[in-house]
Amino acid sequence: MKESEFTARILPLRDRMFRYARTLLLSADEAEDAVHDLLERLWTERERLACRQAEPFVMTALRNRCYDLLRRRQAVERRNDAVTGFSERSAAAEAERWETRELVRRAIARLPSRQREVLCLKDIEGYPTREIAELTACDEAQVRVILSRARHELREVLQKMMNDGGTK
Amino acid sequence: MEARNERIDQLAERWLTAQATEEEERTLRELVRKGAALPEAFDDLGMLFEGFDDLAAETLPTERRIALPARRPLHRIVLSGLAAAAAIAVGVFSWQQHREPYCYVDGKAIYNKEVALSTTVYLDGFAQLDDPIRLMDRLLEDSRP
Repeated sequence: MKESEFTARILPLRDRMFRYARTLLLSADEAEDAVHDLLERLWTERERLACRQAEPFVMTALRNRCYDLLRRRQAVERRNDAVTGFSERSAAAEAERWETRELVRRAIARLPSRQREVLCLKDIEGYPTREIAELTACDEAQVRVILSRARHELREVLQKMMNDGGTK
Repeated sequence: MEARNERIDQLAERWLTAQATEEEERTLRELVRKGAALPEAFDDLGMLFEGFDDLAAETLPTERRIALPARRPLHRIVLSGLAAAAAIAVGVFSWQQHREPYCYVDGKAIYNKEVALSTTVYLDGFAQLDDPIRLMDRLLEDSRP
């Protein structure tokens, strides 16, 4: 892949990559680092990158990198931290829009990682089910099942948060 | 209003079970968009979609945008090439000037080591003969019929 193709095809994905990494890692700083590292790596190896299917390749590479990080740093602990962190932050009365976003983010953080990932790819990034199936290495029916569970659970979590005044 | 709520209910059920088409999902998002008068039962859905939209708008923090190496200007690439070529030419020229010939044969410098060795070996062998010119003459005379 030429430099111009890299700039046109890969760089515009960085925001999407950041959001995906953040959903998986539950940490903005780590997501930034992961995206930054991967982009640098892709830049140095751009000659070996194929132009076709660049996006699925990049997203899969990012996914692998995030899961490596999660394995290394004990994801469950961080996930619990992210969920409990909600109570501290929501105490400060911030803008309503920010609250909605953070409320939904914390609700998503309570989902199991697989559900979180599929939900992010579908409902935030807008990928078609077929592409999600390819990215996550499962079939479309499985994706629908995971997505259905994720949405039901997310709704329950959100309702509970709203009933509790966003303190749990 | 009742019909609208029923429609939302149907679409929400399909969306929750991941059966909704893209068109149905778009319709549902429009119906529960914030600001629309909705029964409390759909508040959470409205919040969910609003949250999804906000999360989808997030970007990589600007202060840490990726800074990729700048491309080298063409004139610098050309100049670098010329400088390298000039350096090679100077090196080759100075090597030619400073190398010593192995020997001289009839005043001509011999640089090839193999040629020089074979020539000098041949001359050495010839010189060892006793008066080689006279010997050659005698050989010529003997060979006459």
